[in-house]
Amino acid sequence: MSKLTDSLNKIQSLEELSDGSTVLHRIHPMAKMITTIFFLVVVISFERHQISGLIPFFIYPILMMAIGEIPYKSVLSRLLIALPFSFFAGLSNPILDSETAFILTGIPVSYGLLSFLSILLKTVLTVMAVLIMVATTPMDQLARQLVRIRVPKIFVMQLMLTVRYLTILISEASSMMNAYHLRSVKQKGIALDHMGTFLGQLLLRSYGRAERVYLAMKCRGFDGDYHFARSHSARTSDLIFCFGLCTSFFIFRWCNLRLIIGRLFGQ
Amino acid sequence: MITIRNISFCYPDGNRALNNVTIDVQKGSNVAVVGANGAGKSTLLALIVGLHNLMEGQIEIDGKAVGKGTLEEIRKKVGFVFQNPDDQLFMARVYDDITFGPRNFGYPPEKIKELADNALEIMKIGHLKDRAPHKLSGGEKRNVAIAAVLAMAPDVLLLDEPSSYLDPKSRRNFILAMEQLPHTKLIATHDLDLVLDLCDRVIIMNRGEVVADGAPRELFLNEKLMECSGLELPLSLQTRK
Ligand SMILES: Nc1ncnc2c1ncn2[C@@H]1O[C@H](COP(=O)(O)OP(=O)(O)OP(=O)(O)O)[C@@H](O)[C@H]1O
Ligand SMILES: [Mg+2]
Repeated sequence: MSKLTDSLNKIQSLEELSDGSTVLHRIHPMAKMITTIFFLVVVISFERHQISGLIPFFIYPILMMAIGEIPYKSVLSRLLIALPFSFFAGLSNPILDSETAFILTGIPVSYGLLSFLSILLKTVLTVMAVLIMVATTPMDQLARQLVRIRVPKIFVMQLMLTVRYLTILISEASSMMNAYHLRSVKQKGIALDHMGTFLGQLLLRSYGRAERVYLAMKCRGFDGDYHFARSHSARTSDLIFCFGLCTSFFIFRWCNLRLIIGRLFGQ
Repeated sequence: MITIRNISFCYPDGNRALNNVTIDVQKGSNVAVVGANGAGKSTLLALIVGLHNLMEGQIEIDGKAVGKGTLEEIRKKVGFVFQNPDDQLFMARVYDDITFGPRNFGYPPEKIKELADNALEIMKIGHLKDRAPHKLSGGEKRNVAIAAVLAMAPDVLLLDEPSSYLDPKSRRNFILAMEQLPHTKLIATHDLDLVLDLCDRVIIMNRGEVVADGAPRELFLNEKLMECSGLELPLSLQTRK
């Protein structure tokens, strides 16, 4: 199968995971969203050279993936898409900041290297947390919560429609690719002199298709205002989930656990 | 119910798709529109729900002229099933797609559920409820698209080639379901056997014009007319000849 169809399936399969029925899926979307946002803030708030403090935070995504029955593969493969960005963004750090922070088994470790690693860890943590949220909450539920926390509706709509348009674009592209390959058997990929027409066609076709989709939406009463399906109202378990996790993030971040545990066992 | 008077329509690129078309559809009747590829059937249906701007002539639904101010009301009354189900289905889940229309009308949750379940039942696709539309087969998509429009509880159904993609059994189910439904129906199709089974009246179009209007059996047996309009005798009538 073509790579495009693969990546389409990747986007969609995450969305399909969100239809599951584990405990985590049943937590109120708002509770998950607040927890995730709090998690992001806490992780990002670590100083540039911090690494050891970040490590305990991996418990959260690992725990959630286990509870939500999210396959590791699906999260990790998407993580790989995000990593290169922060890899290159952080790459200059070890070069610019080569002052030695400490010496580890004879190898000097610079501040630059530390902050580079810290950026990577933060990326992994934050991206994982968001992926977990997306994989356990249906898209329009999330959008609805965004509206509820006063994100302007127009942005939320834009986000939702972009996700839908992406599906259209990719499915048009993959069907064109298949049609192209079936009639040009010998070639791999698209010949350069066909590329212009191909891309032009793709744009026109996906545009035309998006327009028809939009017209079909209008035929079914769409007036620019998305009407979200309601979720159940928050229960005590949702509150406990949100409050419990946020508190533990707080403790992990601002209380020096090593010191406390060391003292407990040291006595 | 549907009154179409002297309408003509050109696409922006100058393609003349309809030329002076006049049609009257009675309430509760099943009317078919047939004609060769490019005859203008889809364009006609699209104009009725105001998807293109009418240039000449007038279309009225229940005495209300189709125009800027009345579109909302008319689209609530008239359900349109697109020729290509891919154009119509866009939600991530079949059930969400089917409830999309009713939710836009702001119905209470119980009513939305009732409408959706009823539509699933009519098209016999309850088992597809939780699937992703883009992963369905062509015929399954078609059934979902029809159900999504039925869930809006319209008075009028415009169906653009509803039987394409359907296997014989689903096609039969579709015809039976349509016979039961009280809606006024305007069906654009190439399936002349479906027309014979379901419709009491057929309109034959050719190159943007109405060339004949009458009882299906009579018109289909008129060889000269069929020849001129680029149509062929349906199977069920061939054996009888
Ligand atoms: N978006 C468009 N832009 C320009 N011309 C168009 C467009 N869509 C259709 N046409 C032209 O308008 C005419 C009528 O098209 P229409 O789609 O109504 O035909 P149809 O009767 O539905 O055909 P089919 O049986 O193939 O579905 C055709 O000549 C077609 O080429
Ligand atoms: Mg058509």
